[in-house]
Amino acid sequence: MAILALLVYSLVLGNPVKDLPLFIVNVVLGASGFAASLSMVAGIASKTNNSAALTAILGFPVVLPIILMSVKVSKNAMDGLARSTSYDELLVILAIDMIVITVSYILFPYLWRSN
Amino acid sequence: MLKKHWWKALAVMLIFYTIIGGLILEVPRLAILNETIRNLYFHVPMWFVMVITAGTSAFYAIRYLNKQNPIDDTRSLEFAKAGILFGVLGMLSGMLWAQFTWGTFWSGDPKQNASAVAIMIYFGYLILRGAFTDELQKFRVSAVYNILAYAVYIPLIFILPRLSDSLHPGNGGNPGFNAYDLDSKLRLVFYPAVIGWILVGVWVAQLRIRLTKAEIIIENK
Repeated sequence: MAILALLVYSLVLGNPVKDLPLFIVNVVLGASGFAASLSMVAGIASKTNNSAALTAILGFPVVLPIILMSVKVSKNAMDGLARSTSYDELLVILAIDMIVITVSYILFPYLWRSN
Repeated sequence: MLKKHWWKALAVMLIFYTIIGGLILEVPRLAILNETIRNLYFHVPMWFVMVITAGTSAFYAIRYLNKQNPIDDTRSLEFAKAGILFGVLGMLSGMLWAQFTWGTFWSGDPKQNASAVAIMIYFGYLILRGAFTDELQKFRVSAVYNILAYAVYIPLIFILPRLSDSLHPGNGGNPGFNAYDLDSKLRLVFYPAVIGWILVGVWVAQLRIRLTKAEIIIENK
């Protein structure tokens, strides 16, 4: 879906990105991180009475590190900086993704049990 | 009695040592920092305490999910609260320190922002607990969130600020611990301070847990 959005945007607005492969990797990593952490948080919030508001409250701080890192990498990719400047950030996004996915995978059965 | 409570006496002694020694013993003269270096004994240990109490909280959350024992949920909650308390204290003491060294209370430093987000995550934990009507569900779901929060908290505090330029010492690759300015005179007070504050943090949490336990017993009478 993020790739689709990227395609549509670059079609409509033109593509200013200088280092496209890096940008796509960043998009994929960032999007999977968003998907994983927001699904988990939405799952947690859905168990409460007021789930819509709680998803926003709980979700924002959880995705913030991913946002910060991806913004930085996107900026690097757009300016076409050397890739070695973005490796650290990509690695962190990947690490956060893996941590969140693993933790969610382990915890979800506990969350979803009806009692 | 003494056998069981020796660590509380140790905590009190270490904190007194920190306060008295921290304010009287000689410290290295450094530019800009000057005498504010003494805040090292109060600001930095706060974050040690928060990492440890939050970790203990996550540990009891895992234990709750395994054993479904309500007392583990109480322990998890109170350790998280103690973590928040020390996190807020750490932030306030850091802001005071920043005012006298960096010039402003809040300068948008990566570590300041990351710690503010971390505290927000744990406030989210308290908000989440307030949103339930069913007790058992509250215990289970908040334990799940607690573990997730800790998993996000650790990279947020330890990895993220290291990647960006920060006003904090020791950034740009090297940990702040072995930074040039932590010489042996500072260590003499710093390590006891860390242990003392950690013990106080555990003590705070333990008192609250005992309070809750006592309330449960009174209710059941």
